[in-house]
Amino acid sequence: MTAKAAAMGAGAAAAIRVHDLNYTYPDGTAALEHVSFEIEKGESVALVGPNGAGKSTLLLHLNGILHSKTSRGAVEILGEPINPKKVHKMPKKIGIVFQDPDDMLFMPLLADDVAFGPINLGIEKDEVKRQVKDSLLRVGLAGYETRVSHHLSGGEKKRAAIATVLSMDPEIIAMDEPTANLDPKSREELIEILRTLKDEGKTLIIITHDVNAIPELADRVIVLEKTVIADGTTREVFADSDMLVAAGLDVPTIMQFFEVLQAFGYPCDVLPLSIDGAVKNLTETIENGSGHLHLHIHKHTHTEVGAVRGKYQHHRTAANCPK
Amino acid sequence: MISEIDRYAGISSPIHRWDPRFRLISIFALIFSVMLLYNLQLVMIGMIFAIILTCISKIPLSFVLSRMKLVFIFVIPFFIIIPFTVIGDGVEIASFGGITLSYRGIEYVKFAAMIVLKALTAVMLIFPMVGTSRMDITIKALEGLHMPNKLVQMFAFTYRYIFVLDDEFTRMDRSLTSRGFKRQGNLYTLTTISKAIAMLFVNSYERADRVFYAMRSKGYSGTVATLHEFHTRWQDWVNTAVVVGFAVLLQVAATSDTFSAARGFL
Repeated sequence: MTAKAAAMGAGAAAAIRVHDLNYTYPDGTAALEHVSFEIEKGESVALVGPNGAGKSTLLLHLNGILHSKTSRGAVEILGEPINPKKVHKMPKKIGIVFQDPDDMLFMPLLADDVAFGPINLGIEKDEVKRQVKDSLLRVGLAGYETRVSHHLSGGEKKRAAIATVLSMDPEIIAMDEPTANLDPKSREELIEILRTLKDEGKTLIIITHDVNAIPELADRVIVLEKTVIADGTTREVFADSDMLVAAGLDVPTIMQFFEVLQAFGYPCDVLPLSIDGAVKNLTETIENGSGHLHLHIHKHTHTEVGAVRGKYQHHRTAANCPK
Repeated sequence: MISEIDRYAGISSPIHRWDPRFRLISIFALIFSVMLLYNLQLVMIGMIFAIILTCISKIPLSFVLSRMKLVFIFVIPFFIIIPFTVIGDGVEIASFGGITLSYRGIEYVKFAAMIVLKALTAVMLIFPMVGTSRMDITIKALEGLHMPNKLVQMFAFTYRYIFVLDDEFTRMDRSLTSRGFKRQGNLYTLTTISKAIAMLFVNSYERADRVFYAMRSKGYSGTVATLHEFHTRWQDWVNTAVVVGFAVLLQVAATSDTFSAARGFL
């Protein structure tokens, strides 16, 4: 548990507090075992883990859709334990964006889908209409009210699904792989939307396999594999590459690249996680080196490069690995 | 892809403008009235009225007829079954095994025609009834008519999940075809299809679950969420009077001697 989370654990109500959550699928397979973590208000957390690690299952526990005897009282949202009988009251607090937008878009027109949540919350009609317009605008789908969700593109559907949650204005937004299956432009647009939400101070919990997007989106990373195997700041978690690789995960490409650069003699204590970080790092290093960057090859260079690459390649072919 | 019954909900016609609550009740009454008839002529009059209503609703007849094809396939066997299964002491024409064809049976072709027409009339009336407004509005209208919430939800989800099933089947079918599967009249085809259908149910069940989860996550608690509001005008009452009046008239006529069931068949 991070120092931050531990510090506030005792006092103020956390946005999400999960304590010893267990869940077993009806067929007897354990999905979640002793999962515990806390997320503070305004925090933005990436939830990573291999396929089948129970990430989506965990998400469905956060508003009480999935629950079992063993999970009773294990999840608290904004200081209140979840009552599975009052799931329909939860959207004010936590909105969930499902992995497959087709599961979320089921009304005849997009505007009906976006209005679905606020209407259920009993919001007044004019306000609902305003919310619909506003939510669509925020995800870059202004004027899409009368479109049929069936005919939208994959990227538009993902954004539409987010709009259907934004319209309920929840304090916490949980998303299941928002950037998956998108073309680079749509992915970039989606990251931008998530970043805006983060800047607005929403509490975000984002399931993702997109490690390159994490540094931009999350301050903290929780690694889940049935149970929480790591929980810390983005940098802390990515620094533990052995643990990540063992869990079948990856670190951002930029980070790997700078590790390779280190083998070529690049002086770098803290590996940058994103392109922005890389630019900053390079600028500083070059300025310190009085306008120059010095790289060289010594006799161990290629062994070191091989070691760095090998570290992340246990699950891939080593064909391109220079020896 | 199954095209939805409310595909032509967007066009404008007197039936479309009719308050869905009134429309549902009126046409439902008419369907009942036609169903209770036992006279071919009266059923034919009902059929003509149904055609008129459909025409007024401006739903393309081709769309209606293509949907009715399936119903027709279901009811057409009556023409064969009924003449052979009439119990009575008519003159026998032929007999093979336990099946006899009598003159009485031939007369009963008329009876079969009546059953078929009744079925077709009822199905045709469904189009002006629910095809003229969006499904969610129809469902809200049912709620407005104080239909028990459980029934409204069953109706809503049945409708919703037809498309889930269809989607899943389309996907599965594509994946089978793309791997070289071709439907033939052999055991292999049958086993493959039956396995696919089993999988279809599992997949659809899971998908239906996810859709339901998503709805619950958005605060669904059983009531229909749509911004549509019903406004009743005097025209709604006039329409209702005409359709319900016609339904009653059919029943009144049925009790008169001219169109009595007895004159028809017995």
